[in-house]
Formats: sequence, structure tokens, C-alpha cells
Amino acid sequence: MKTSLTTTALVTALACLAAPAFAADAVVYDQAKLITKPTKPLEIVFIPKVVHPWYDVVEQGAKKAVAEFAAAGIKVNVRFDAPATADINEHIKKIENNTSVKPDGLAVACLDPATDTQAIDDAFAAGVKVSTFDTDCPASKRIMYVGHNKDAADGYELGQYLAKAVGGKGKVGILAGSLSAPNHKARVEGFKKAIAENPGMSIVFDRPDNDNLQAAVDLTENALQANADLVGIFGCNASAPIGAARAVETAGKKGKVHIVGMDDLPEAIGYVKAGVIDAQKAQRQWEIGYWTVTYFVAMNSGHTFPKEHATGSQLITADKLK
Amino acid sequence: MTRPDNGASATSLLGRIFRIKESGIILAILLMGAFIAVSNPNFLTPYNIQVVARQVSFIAVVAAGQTLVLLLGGIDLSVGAIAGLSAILGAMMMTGGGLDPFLAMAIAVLFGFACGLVNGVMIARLKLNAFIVTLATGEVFAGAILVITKGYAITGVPKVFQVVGQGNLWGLPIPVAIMFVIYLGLGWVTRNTPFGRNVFAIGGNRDAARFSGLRVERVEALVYGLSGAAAALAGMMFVSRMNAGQPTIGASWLMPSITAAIIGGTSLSGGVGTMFGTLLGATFMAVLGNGIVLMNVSSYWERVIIGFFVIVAVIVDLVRRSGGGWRLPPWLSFGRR
Repeated sequence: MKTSLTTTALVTALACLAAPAFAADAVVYDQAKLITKPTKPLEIVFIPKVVHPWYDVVEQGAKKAVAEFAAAGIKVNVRFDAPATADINEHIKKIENNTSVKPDGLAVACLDPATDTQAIDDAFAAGVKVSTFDTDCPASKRIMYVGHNKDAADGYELGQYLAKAVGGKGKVGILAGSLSAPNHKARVEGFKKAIAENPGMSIVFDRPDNDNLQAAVDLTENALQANADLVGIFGCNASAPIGAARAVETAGKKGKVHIVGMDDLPEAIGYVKAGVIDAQKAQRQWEIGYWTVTYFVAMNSGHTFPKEHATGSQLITADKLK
Repeated sequence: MTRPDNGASATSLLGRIFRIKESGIILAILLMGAFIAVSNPNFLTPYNIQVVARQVSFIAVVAAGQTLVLLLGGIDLSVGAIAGLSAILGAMMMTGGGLDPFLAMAIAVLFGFACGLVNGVMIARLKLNAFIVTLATGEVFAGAILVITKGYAITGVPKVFQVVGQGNLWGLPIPVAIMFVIYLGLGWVTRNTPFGRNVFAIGGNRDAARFSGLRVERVEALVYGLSGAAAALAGMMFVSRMNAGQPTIGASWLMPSITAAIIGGTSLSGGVGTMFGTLLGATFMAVLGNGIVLMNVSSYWERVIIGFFVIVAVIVDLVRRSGGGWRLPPWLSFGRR
């Protein structure tokens, strides 16, 4: 009797547990219904900091996502609207004018977080879904950030790599990019921290090249003239290591002056293969474009999306390119 | 200074409209606006109109000072740097210095005036070339910004100060209201005061002005001072708009300030132009920049189109100055005086 009671209780309990599964169709609240396929084409706008080949790779990733959605029957239009110069006034105008278009997603690469924050908040207040990419405005009301967020660590790692390459002693220099770009500043700080850990090393020049190739070439040429015993250069942006490599190669100092820098523009990769540049730390910006589009489509379909998506970076050396 | 009434055309409404100096540019703005509005209805939303008007205001305030300088036959290449330096100092005074933000703004504008006065004194008293002096001081001021800030933005601007750049007065953005006050004020001054007439006289013929007993140096120095003050005011408006003193405020304001004046019919050789024309020039550029985004046209066209309009305006200016026998059709006659 006792056994049958226990059995009855067990069966009842199991039945109660299983009931929702059998009754699924009868439940009013169906989570699948929260997801709706967009009925009209989605308009997504990217506002880079400036016209720069680095963003071409972001665009390739974005276009890949667009193609995938097109295959799934969801039409997405992506537009890149970059200011011609890295100027905060032009950047703000781009954000304001594109807010008027009322896109389904507005992705902004922050040129100056302190200033862009207000423009992003205004766009948000006007009802536009605003995300950030490449460089974040963490204090703003942006709903998502897709990009790299370990700039200081990149600079530090490259500093360590350079120190190892030169045997922990000698004079090195920095091409510091733009003085008002937070990611450039963070990389330079990280690099300086790594160099400071090597008592035999000193930083003899630290100049802003403004992510401008010609400026990077000129500054490196001057630095080589001023410091015949220079052993290393750190270029904190995409243009700087290429400019440094051109100047070092022209001066016939390949192998004597070691170069480490950022990003993977084709010319930089060529210099890595040729042994002029020792190492490049490259972001995976293709991912930034791909996931930004994907998440915007997701949020316009009622899906959830991450607040932040760190896309990471990788070290590129001649060994890895073989 | 309008042309004398010469015939039947003046009696018709159209004729009267065309006799307004700025009719060409007004027509261009209206046509462009209509075209954009048809292409994208978002153009005429209150939100977008506010956006465009506010964008006009910053450049237009800088261009107001620049127009005075151009009327004088000079040029001020340091406006952007003065705007930036004054804005940084103003922002620092109200954040680190703890000064009342509106007092800090007033001091920043005075500082801009002083910077302009330095230009003016060198140009008027030492007879140095305006282009070179302002190019050089522009570099000094722009460099000083980086020395002071090391590239970092000044944040923590008091909330009460936001009203200057973000507030609204009966639906009108305050920067736009400030712009109107400046233009009404300077428009009146240039038309109705001895100072205004002196500016035109010096710009028209400096030697003649001097021989007729005008205090040329004093007027010149004052005009450059006003140009600096206007730039500083625009810089402070931008600080308020963005809650931050950004080291590159003003870095891109120089060329638009000159372009707005030229498109508006101001002659680079001095003595010809109106404040109203410059306001229209600035409006034209902002509407164009906005329309290009709204119509989904590559932004690179913006510069091509602005460049084209500058050339048209300069040709009109040349034709007018040659006093030649042929006249452009009235709809092309930007700012003829």
C-alpha cells in the first residue's frame, strides 16, 4: 500500500512537471512570437572617424552580413558616411544629419568621446538606435559597443615585443598618432609602461603623426637623423608603422631599427613579410562590421543583443604569415 | 547702395525681387530646399530644421567677423584657432577655475577680442600682410591649444551653461537666436554707423580713406578684434552645445567662414558685401551638407558642389568689378551691389 502511494505521488509529480510540455500549444505567451521579421528594408548607417582604408575592412564585414540577410529574405541597406577630415565639428554634423534620416541603426566610431557623447545622446533622444564601434563613448546612451577595448594592452604587448627584439636596451621612438584620439593615447601609454620595465631602454622621441602617412615618414626621417643609434620605433596607428618602415628602408637601416605597430593594412603586411616591420597588432575590424549589422537586424527583429562585444586583436609576425 | 531704378522691370514684383542683391543665393537655397524636401520628407521635420539651423549658427557667427575683415580688404586665417583657444580657456575657467560659466564665457569672448586685436595691431600699425600675420598667429594659437590641453578634452562643463548651445527660446535654438542678434547688430552697424561706412570706405580704397581723414589703423584693429570676438563666441557656443572644451573646436571653421562670405557675395578685394549675404552663404552650405546626407549622395559631392558655387560667386564678383558691358542674368548675380 505504501509503495503504491509513493508511486502515485511520483507519477502525479511527474505529470505536473511534464504538463507544460504537452500543453505548450495552449499557452498564450509564446516567446517565439516576440521575434518578427522586418517587413521593410532596414537602413543602417556607419559614421567612421574619418575616411581611412581601415574602415574598408569594416565595410567588407558589414557587406558580408548584408549578403547573408539578403539570402534569408531580409533586405538591409548599409551606408558608410565618413567625414573627409578627422574633425570633431564635421563628425558631429554627420551624426546630426544622419539622425534626421531616422535610420534603423546608427553606428558611430567616436572621434572624441567627451564631445561625441552629447551628439549620441541627442540622436538617442530623437528615437534612433545608436551604437558605437571602433572607439566607444561609454558615458553616452549608446545601446551597444562592438569593437576592441584593450588598446593599452596592445601597446604594452608591442612594447614588450620590441624590448625583446632589441635585447632590452637602446633608444626607441614613438609615432603617437593623434593627440586627441583616446585609442592612440592608450596604446602609447601601454607602450611606455612596457619600455619603463626595461632600465636599459629610453624613449628619445614621441611625436604626433596624426595618422598621416607623409607625416610619419617625415618624423621618422628626422628621428633617424637626430639619433643615429636609434634601435626601435612604435607606430600607434595604421599609418605610422608604414611611414616608419618606408623611412627606415630608404635609410638602409632595415634590421638595425626595429619597428612594431598597429593594424594590418596591405603595405604593413608587406613590410612584415619583408622583415622591415617586426610585428603588427591587428584588430579584427571585419568582425566589427559583421556583428554591428547582425545585431542591428537582431534588435529590429525583437531579438536580444549584447551591450558590448569585444572583437579582440591578434599579433602578426613574419612567422605567422608563412 | 542698390542700383538706381532703371525701367519697367522695377515695377513688376519679379523685377523688384531680382533687384535684391542676394536674390540669386536665396533662389539657390529655395530650389535646393524644394528638391531635397521632395526627395526626402524628413528634410522639413522640425527636428531636422533645428539641426540645420544650429549647424548654420556656429559657422555663421565666425563668418560674421570674417565678413567684416573681408569688407576691409583683409583676411583672418586665425579665426578657427582663436575660437579653439578661447573655448578651451573658457571651459577651463568654468571647470577647473570654478568661475561662473557665463562670466567665463564673457572673459573668453574678451580674450578672443584681444587675440584679434593683436592681429589688427600688427596688420594696421606694422603694415604687415594680413594673410601672413593671421596665418602665423593662427599657428601660435592652435599650438597653444595643444600645449595647454595635451590633446585632452576639458570635461565637466556646468549643466547651467548648456542653455547657450542646447537651449530653446520659443522653439528657436539659442545658438540660432544668438546668431540672429549678431547679424541684426552687425548688419545695422555696417549700414548705419560711421564705423560701418568707414569699413566699406577703407575696403574700397584704403589710400583715399586715409587722405579723407579716416582713422584707418583704428578701424582696422577694431575689425580684427571683432573677428576674434565672434570666433570666440562661436567657440563658447560649441562648448555649451557639446558639454566639453575639445582641442579641435574651430579647426575646420576657417574655410567655411570665408566660403560663406564669398558665396554670399562678399568680394575678397574688399569694400563689397553684406552681412545678410554671408548669413545666406552659411545657410546654403548647411542645407547642402544636410541634403546630401538626406538624399543618400556621397558626402564627397558636398565639397565639389561648394567649390563650384565659390567659382560662380567669384566670377560674378570679377564681372561686377570689371564694370564690363555685359551683365549676368539677375538670378546669377550673387550679392551685386
